[in-house]
Amino acid sequence: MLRDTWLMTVKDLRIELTSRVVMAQILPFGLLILILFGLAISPDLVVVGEARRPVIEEIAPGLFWLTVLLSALMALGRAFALEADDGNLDALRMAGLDPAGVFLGKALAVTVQLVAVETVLGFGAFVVFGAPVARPGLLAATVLLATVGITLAGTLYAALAAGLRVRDTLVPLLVLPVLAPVLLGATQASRDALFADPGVPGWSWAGLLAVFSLLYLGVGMLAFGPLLEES
Amino acid sequence: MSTTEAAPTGTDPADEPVAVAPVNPPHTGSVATRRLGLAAIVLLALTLLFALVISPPEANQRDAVRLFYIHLPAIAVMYVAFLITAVGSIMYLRKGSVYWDLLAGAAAELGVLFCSFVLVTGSLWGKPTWGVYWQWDPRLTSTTVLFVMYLGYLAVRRLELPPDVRSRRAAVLGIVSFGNVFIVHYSVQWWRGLHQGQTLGVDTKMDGLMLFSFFIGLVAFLTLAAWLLIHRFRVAWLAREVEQMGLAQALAERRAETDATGLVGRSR
Amino acid sequence: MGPVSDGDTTPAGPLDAGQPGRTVVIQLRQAISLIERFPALAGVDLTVSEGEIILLRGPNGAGKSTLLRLCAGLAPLNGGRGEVLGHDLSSRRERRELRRQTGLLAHATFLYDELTVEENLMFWARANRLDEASVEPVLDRLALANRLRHVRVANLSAGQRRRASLAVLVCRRPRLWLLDEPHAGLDVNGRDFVDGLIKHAVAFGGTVLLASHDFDRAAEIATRTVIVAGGQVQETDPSARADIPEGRMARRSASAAPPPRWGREPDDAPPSDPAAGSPLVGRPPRSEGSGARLTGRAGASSNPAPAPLRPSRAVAPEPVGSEADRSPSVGAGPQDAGADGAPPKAPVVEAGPGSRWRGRRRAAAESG
Repeated sequence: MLRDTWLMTVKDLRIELTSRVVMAQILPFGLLILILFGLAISPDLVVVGEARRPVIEEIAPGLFWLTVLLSALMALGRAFALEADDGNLDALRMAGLDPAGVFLGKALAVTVQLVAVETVLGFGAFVVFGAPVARPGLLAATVLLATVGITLAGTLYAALAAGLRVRDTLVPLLVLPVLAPVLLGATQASRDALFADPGVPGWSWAGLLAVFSLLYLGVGMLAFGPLLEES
Repeated sequence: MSTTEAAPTGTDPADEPVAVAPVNPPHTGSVATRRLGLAAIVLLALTLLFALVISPPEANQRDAVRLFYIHLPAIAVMYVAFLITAVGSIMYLRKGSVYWDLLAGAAAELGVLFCSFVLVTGSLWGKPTWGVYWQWDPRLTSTTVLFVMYLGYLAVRRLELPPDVRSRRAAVLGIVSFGNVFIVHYSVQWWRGLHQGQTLGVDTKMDGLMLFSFFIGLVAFLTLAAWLLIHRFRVAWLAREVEQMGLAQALAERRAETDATGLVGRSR
Repeated sequence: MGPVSDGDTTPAGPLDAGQPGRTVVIQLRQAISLIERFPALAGVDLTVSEGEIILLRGPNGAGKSTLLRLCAGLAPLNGGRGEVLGHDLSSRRERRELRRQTGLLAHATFLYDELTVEENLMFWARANRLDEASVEPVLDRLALANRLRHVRVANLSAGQRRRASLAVLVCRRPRLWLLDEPHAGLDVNGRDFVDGLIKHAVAFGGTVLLASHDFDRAAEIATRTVIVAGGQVQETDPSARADIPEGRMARRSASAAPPPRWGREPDDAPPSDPAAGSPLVGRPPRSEGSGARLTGRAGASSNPAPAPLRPSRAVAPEPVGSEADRSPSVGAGPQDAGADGAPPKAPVVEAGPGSRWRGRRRAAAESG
């Protein structure tokens, strides 16, 4: 199984290295969204109270994670378009790969790509929104756990719609409600990581992200077989 | 849950002749369901009577509390319906029987219906309580997410796929979605718990009459749900029969393509 | 949803035994397969024995591709019965086993556009748990060992792409070769290679189903022609078998079917000892377990005295085409064997939709 995981991951990353779809198209898309958020939410608005931070700095974590979610949707779509375009899902089934291995491999490849995207987006958000980082360790853990959660759940649902004509419209409908807890957890934990907000238990939220990821790890490995079986 | 057992009765798998008897068109009613429907009407009337007339207004919420007698039963029905969907999905994956799949689908539609009812009554209740229709109340928020999630489930059930493939995907989704109910609910609860918002609910002590009114409402809604579920299940069953007839027709048409080929009977 | 059937035609008896003394590779009875809602296969009866080369003929949309996909374990069996390589098509678990032993050359080429030819082959070899060293000889045989190996698949021409797809197929060393339009889009060298490959595969214990519109070429190598129309096998054509001269059948031995090479004459000196194996076809010994299992199943369900299936390439293949093999009822279903001893030309066309089939099936059910 781990062998199949590695095989799929390496293959997907190699495809990304030659095609650069994620880095050359999805990443700029994410950066553009960050800029558009800035345009939609005036940077001159200031939070009333003792903090007197700009609104956009205050809500930067939420905007960042929304951007990540949108980018992740595109990356997932791309990951499964690869397999569906030339009937390769059929060939994977004929090769007799372990479904759990395929699931983990696809998820791992998307995770790697998404972490790369998030790193750049994070710097972008730092520059554009200008938020400080109080707890880098918590921030790193949050990014990692949230990304794993997004990709595991996302891979499961993207596979469910892979190869369908309605894929592009169905996947967001299925994935976004499921990822609502991840958005919550990641935003809250990031708030704590950035502002050291005393009212927000950052590590507990990170724990929620970990639990979510573990759950979807198990569900995905179990459910991917029935999903991959026929399409 | 009695409805799960009640549903498959009256529809025999192998040779139900509903499809071939146009003189007596198939319908989903039976003596039992008519009685059940009658009971639901009576119980709903009783609920209205108790909720609007007999039970007293509450000290804090005044008359607004009366929404509680239909809001909470609707929530109960919603959760029961989604539970049936999950159970049906598990049983379908284990047994492969199409009954369980149809039951899961019927229950999910019922759940979505009652979920929208919960959202509407919740908002209406919010207006006198909070002064606005929408508040970032944890229950309201998580229920909305839940609503969209099961809309996605219904969308998957409508996919143009071979029936067994579609049923299997829907079953996986039905199980996973039920798990999500808890995750979403818990996380949103936690999120709002940190901001001391006013939770929608009745914290005051209920007296005997209020409790009884609520109980009547609960029984009425469960009866109504059972009635709806049975009929929805039977409609789904008939739709499947029609689909099968369509398949027989399609098979005949497909075989008839033979004659037009010109290849048959001609040696190379 | 469970298997569907149109009522009275579900076969009840055991699947028939096929050719005496030969392992039955494909057995389909009233097989129905749906694509979305459309019955692409509307009740196929087909029996194929090991070592046969079956040419599927029929107009576009007749169901040839779906029939191949059904045999590959990819298309679902929605009604009727089917067994391929001893695996029951109605069981998901057995179909999973089956898929690993079949090779499908389809319209989709199963290649990743962004990877080079060599990377694609390496990936699929690893995915199929094959020795990576097996890739190089295949590249060489298919004349892909030159600069083409480093070209990304997206930049290949249609014919080259097909060649790369064929290379993956050869790497897989399937026992059952399912070739959908193998000649399409290929130049003369390519077509010759495909023909050589087919003969070679059969010589080393394989079985081939091919759908082709290149009738002259395909009929040249096929041992039997099957006409597919309206999602059914309309006619297995015994006359096509009778046409085959004795010499051609005999040629299909290991020594007469040397491993082909793209763009050149086949190897002059084939492996003198077939037990030494082919450089191209025949499953590596890994599949022995499933082979034994196959024999057991086939024996249990159909063949009273099944010929033990060779563990692929270890044993020399027996030449195809003994006298018994060429009897007209070969491969036809029981109803066909009963109804038409003569080549079935007359009764085929005139009946209304479905009625002929239903009637004949009833007759078959009664007699059986």
